[in-house]
Amino acid sequence: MDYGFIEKYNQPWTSGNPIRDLNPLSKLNLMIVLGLSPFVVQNYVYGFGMALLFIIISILAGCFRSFFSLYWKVLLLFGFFLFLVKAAFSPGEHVIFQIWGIRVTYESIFSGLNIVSLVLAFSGAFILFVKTTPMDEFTYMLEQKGVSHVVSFIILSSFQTITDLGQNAKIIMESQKARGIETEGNVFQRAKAYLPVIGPLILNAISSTEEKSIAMDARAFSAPVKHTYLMELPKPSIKEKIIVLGLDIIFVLLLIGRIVLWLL
Amino acid sequence: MINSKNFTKLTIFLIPIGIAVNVVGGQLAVLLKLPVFLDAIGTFVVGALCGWAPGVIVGLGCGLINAISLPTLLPYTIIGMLFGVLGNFLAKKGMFSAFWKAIVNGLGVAFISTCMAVPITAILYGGFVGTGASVIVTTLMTAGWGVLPATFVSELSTELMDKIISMIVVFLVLKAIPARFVVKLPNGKYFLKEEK
Repeated sequence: MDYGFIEKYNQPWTSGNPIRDLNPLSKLNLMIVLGLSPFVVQNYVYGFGMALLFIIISILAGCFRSFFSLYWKVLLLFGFFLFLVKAAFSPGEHVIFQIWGIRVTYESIFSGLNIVSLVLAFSGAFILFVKTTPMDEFTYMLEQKGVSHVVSFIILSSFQTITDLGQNAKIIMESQKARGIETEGNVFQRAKAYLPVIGPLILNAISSTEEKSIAMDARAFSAPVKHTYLMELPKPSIKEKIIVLGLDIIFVLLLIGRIVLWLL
Repeated sequence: MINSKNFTKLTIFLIPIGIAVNVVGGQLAVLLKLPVFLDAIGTFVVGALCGWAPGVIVGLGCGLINAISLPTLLPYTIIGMLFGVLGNFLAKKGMFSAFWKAIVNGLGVAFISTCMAVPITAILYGGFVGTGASVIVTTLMTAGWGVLPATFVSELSTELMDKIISMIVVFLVLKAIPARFVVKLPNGKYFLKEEK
């Protein structure tokens, strides 16, 4: 085995990209603050600016492709269609255009822009967080903060089980097809194919838990000792802490300002 | 809340499976081009077998994972969590013991989830959910309906189909799980008949 490969595990884990190397909890904190700030500011220019900012950050973090493969769906469905629906049906006084139940007004266009900017900004923050944070790093940080390792297991195992069951589902479907079950045709034929696939899938998965629990106990899953880690993450730098804290304070000030304005 | 002391080992291992069944069940419905979601089967199964807390965790996990591909689904996570509680409740009332009860469950659950989904859809997204149901909503609103009734009608029609099929699947799955396994689970007592 290569000496460099082993040496890698003696150092804290870094990927070389300053955005991706931020501490997972800092990223979570930034996601919440930046993603929710448009709800406080309530200005669609700010909201769209945030959405644009997230796209730029994804490019800087080198994950634009995987980020945008999810984000374009939100942009199309909620950036475009939600705006149309809002613009056509929201109540308003100054009518621009009217046909049957559709009433496009100044107010409805602005309410459409507002809601679209909120949805885009929040979705952008959420997808960006997921795409820049590997789940094992996130659960590692949670455990460092004292969360039980059972939570880590549930989170990581869920993703693994989804892949496994997805493959199982394909195998079962092929077998049932070989047995003569129609998976194409009209809705009722396709609906009839659902049960013979999902039934064995669930029962198989459930009956495998017993073996799995024995296997995990044999590997000291529930041993009441302090855990060690193969991989460690660097401690957050002072600069990182200051940036996160600064943004947190700005967010709280904005929130207080919004509440004061709302009460007056 | 979660540690090995209050949850039995089997419950801990069933939670990821519940989440995965939700997600894969939904993917399967998409693959077969069915007009329903079928993405809460795992929540009901785990809620019924293991109690409300594991059911709620499955609903939460599934909601978060679904939100990764479409973050606008995040507000509906609360409904998924409620399904875990409902699964436990129905198991306690013995509502998974006969086929006709599955239909009744489906009607009840569909009505409850519609009542919770409508305010989210109507207020947050103006009746637009980004699925086929949006076509019904926009058609009704073009015909002069208000946002709330239009959303209610479209949600109820899809939810009814979705939840009745889901509950039938849940009923058949729960019936098929061997008794020697069920007896080890926290809610096992509600599914087994005592032999005298």
